[in-house]
Amino acid sequence: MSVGADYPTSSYPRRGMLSGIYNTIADIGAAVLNMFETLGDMTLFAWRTVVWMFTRWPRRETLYNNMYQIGVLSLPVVALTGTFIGMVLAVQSYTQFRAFGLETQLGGVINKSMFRELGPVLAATMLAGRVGSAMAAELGTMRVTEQIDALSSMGANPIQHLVVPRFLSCLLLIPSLTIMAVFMGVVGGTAYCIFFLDIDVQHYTSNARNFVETWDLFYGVVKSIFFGATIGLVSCYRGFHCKPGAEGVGSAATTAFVQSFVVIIVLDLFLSIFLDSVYLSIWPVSPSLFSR
Amino acid sequence: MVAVEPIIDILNLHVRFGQQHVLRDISLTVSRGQTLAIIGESGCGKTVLLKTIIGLIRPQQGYVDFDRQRIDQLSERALAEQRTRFGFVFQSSALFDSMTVAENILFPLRQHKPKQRAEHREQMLAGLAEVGLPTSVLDKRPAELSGGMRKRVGLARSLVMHPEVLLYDEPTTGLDPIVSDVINELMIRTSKNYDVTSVIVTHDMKSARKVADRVVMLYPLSRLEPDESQVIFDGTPEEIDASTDRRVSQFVRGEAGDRLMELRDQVG
Repeated sequence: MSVGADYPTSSYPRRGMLSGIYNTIADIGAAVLNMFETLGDMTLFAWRTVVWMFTRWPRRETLYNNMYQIGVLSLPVVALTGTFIGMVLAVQSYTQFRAFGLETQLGGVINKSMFRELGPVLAATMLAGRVGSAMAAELGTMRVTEQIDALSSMGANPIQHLVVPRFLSCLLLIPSLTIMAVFMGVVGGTAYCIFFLDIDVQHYTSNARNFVETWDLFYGVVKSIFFGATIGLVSCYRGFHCKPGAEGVGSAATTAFVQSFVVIIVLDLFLSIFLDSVYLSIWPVSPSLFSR
Repeated sequence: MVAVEPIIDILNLHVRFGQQHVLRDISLTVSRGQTLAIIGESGCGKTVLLKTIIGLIRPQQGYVDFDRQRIDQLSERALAEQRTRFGFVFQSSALFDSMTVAENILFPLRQHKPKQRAEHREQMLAGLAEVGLPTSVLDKRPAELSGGMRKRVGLARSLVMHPEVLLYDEPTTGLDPIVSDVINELMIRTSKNYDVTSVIVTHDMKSARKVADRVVMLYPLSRLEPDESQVIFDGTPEEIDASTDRRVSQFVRGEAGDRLMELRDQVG
């Protein structure tokens, strides 16, 4: 993780056997301090974003423009990758399911995976790559060319003007992108199974329908909202804390994607555990693909 | 003698970035209506001082008083309100490149006077006329303008709110001599027409002599002794020419002096 402020690392070269150990400990200490400072700074940034979101809603024009850039323009790539992921799932699972004579159950597996896992993660990955790094680069350029300072100097709040509309657009539109990824994945998987793998349409669709519940859609959409918030916050934070020069902007864009992605994957695990336990507390029967 | 009312009071200001000390114990008072030029070589902390005045950089020690209010103790909302009394012309112009020239000039009006929307266009055109730009630039993007025009749009954007203090960060840097002189004239005209206090950060001596009625010279801390003051000159443009301090006279005449040794050392 790259860091916010720079704590001094081992600046006093020492001689002798212990010097190596001393320097290593000092470097680790500095890295840990930097990491905690960045984490604290990010939390504060997120808090201020949320406070501004409720204090003053962005202008409709600004919000729509951001929504168009972030949501509408991401739709084609999300739809395309969704379709292919659905088909790849069919290809990968077919041989294994056929070995047990369960190929008609493929629809259930593909759809369940798309709804719960691949749809939201895929939409989030595409959004982080397409929009997150672009936002970090744009805000980073604004930081470097003093446009963010100019906003502040005119008595406007940069978080309210620049972060809130981007954060809101990510938050509000990622569910639609997720649903699009899921839908296209389901379509791609179904088309491949029926047209290329010659699985019986009747069996395939009836199994697919039986396995997937409304809960699965809810499950994916809830996860995606957290992913969208992560992308918005991490990318804007990276842009705002961009280091000077072209290298700084490039590094802000890369770091925005890498950090968003890492946080998304970690969040994915914990949200999955949490949502499964919520499901079990409401319907205390283990959700199994083959128990129906 | 009429007492001159101070508008900006800087007291024992210290600014550090990590381990690097940029400003040390700066104390300075700017009177209402004064045009102050802060000069000094690159990296001496001029821009940092300007940004600290408006609260874009927080000092580690000391404070800035603006109209008897401590800038660092204001709430976010109060600071935003106070900032409308300032105009800041950035070195890079800092125009919003996603907006047209017209939208850039309208921005502060839309932000702070949303209810007087009917008057916005008129005020925007007045600002544009003040800096002598034609209305044909209104629909252009900042990237389509020359450096001098961008500076003028930046000034127009600062003027629409009728500020009491104008802060200029290297207004003539990177411009040809003719355009630089146009900017100098604009600064003089603005001071007269708007009756503003101006603080101009520059290393252009011609500009400082022409525009300012007081000049302050800062010196980089890295080349000062621990007990030396960072402000090595404070006086009128006439006095600076008569200064006997070698560091000041070398800067005024544009001579490298001892700094040439750096090149010799590298060659050797």
